[in-house]
Amino acid sequence: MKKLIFCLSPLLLLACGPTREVEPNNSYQQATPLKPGATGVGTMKNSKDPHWWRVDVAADGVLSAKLGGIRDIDFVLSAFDKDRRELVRIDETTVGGDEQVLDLGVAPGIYYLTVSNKNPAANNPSQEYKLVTKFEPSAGRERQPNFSALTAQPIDAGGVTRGWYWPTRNLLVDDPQAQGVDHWFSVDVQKQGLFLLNVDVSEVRKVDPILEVYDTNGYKLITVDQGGVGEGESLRSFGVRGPAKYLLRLRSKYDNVGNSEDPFDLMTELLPYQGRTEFEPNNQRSDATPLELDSIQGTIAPAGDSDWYKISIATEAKQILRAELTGVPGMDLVLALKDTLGNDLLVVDNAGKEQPEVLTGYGVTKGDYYLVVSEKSGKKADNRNSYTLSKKLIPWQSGLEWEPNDSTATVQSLKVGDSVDGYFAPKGDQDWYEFNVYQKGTVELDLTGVINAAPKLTLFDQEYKELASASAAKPGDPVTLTRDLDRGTYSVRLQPADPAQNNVRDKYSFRVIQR
Amino acid sequence: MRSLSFAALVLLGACAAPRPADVTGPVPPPRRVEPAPAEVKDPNFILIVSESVPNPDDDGISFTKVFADGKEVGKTAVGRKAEERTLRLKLPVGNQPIRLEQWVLPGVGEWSRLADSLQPRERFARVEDGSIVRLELRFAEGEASNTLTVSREAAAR
Repeated sequence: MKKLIFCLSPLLLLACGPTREVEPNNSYQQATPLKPGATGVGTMKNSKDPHWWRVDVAADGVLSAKLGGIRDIDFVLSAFDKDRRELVRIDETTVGGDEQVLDLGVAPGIYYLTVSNKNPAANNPSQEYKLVTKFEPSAGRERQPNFSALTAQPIDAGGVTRGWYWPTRNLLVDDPQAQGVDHWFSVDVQKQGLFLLNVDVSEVRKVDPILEVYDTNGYKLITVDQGGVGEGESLRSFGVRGPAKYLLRLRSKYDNVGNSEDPFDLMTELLPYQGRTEFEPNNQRSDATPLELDSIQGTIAPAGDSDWYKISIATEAKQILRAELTGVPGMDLVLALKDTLGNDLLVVDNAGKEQPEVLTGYGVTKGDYYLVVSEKSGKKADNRNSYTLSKKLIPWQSGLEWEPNDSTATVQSLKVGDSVDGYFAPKGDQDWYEFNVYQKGTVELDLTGVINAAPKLTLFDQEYKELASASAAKPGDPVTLTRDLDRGTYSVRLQPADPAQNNVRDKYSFRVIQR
Repeated sequence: MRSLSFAALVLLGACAAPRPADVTGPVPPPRRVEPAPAEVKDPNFILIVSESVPNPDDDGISFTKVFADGKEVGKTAVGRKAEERTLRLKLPVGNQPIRLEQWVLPGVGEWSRLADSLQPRERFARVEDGSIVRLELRFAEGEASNTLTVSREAAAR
């Protein structure tokens, strides 16, 4: 018995050890069988002949192979399917360097790996190379080659897919000038309706990733390139309409840059759209996100992003639109109000970095209006910190300021004896009021004080000739002007002495009295 | 013979039945065509009315009445809202309150006066010899807002 064990032990050891190439093996018919996960060993006796290895795969999975470099040999490693269609070709190093295929997507069947040399002067017939293979389940893994939109790998929205920025060059592409390798994934939105797609790409050393989203027509919908080298990318609240298929393209920003040691994680999430967040892309009027609830959240990303929100007013009645925008760390946000054609009605840029902006009130009637949120410099982006944009529609009534009233053409009518409450906001605001004097007499104009504004009151006749003016001594002080006036129309301009002064919190009250 | 008398009754009944026009209700009176305002020689007051109508489907019919010191002194021609209409008047010299009143013809129904809150504001205009007061009224957002500007120009000699 001992003798038997002694005799069989070398055979057992051989069975567990590497698989040695069997020459001749320079065609697929002569390929040396290699179990998935096993190691093949060979020598480049004739450096011009490729070595074919046959891998019989029994289940779906991902196959990786690492070919250890040897002296004098400039290895090229390729993978083929059963029909000898070349799937991937790796030539990342020069003489003596390792080559490796990572996460080749395989299904049950025959695959081939070929080991060849491209150094014509190679002469190393005796040193052994090792071809180490690894077979793993494909769940949650990238399945190469997915280097084109046509071969995009379907992934479930709501999971993590691990992949590699490797190889750094696609040697099988038709265009010899083409550089870099794209990793394409497809997300199938099967249900009907509006959804928000979130995508996160983890950081990988040496790689500066770019993420792009395409529709099935091949139109690029968005490019995400906020992070730098060694940083990740994140796409938040990207609006998609189902049922439809969307393609994600992930690549390294710089050619011939990759990483075979650290994988990337691609995390996707698909959420039903409930109107609480922006619906990207909403960068233009036609794509504006409907602002139907009282508030909505959004982010400024990528740099230069502007978020359009549509407010549709169905009633004929006059209303005052008030809007508030919260601050975002490190950013100076600007809020603009636009009309149905996208023309500017008002730009609110009262406060500085990280401070809220307030649209104190703008007169609106039936129709569509747009609120647009942007970052002042156009160079900053942050998809982790969101802003909240809230709106209120208040029925207009006599005694409330009706913006726009910042010119003689849009002057607000006021009856003698009445008062009106308004704001010195946004920055640079001036408010015009007009009243008629039907009987000659003494008229008194009273303006209450407002913190942070030292207002100036100017009286004009009906031909807009200045008659008199009065100013507050200091911010917060009231202003009064008394004048004998003939029958006629008169205008009053109210404005802070310094256009930078404004107050979005406190209203002034202005009154015209005839004595 | 019985069936013959039944047929005669049916025929009589058919003659007595209301005509289709009676069934559909009263016929609306023919629409009165508004005469174009007469040309005024040496006007001292010009009103120009226009409206921004972004969508041609929303264009309608309107005209504007002019009141000076509480009395109606003229009205523009009836026309499409998007068309600019001009009214030239010779008003008495003096400073007088001018009120404009906008009337619109809805798709269905009669002429209606725009709600008070949407009407242009009343303002004084000083009418003088040798000059023309020019009032420009421009509506927007389907008459929901308007701007009224006043200017003066020298009268042609």
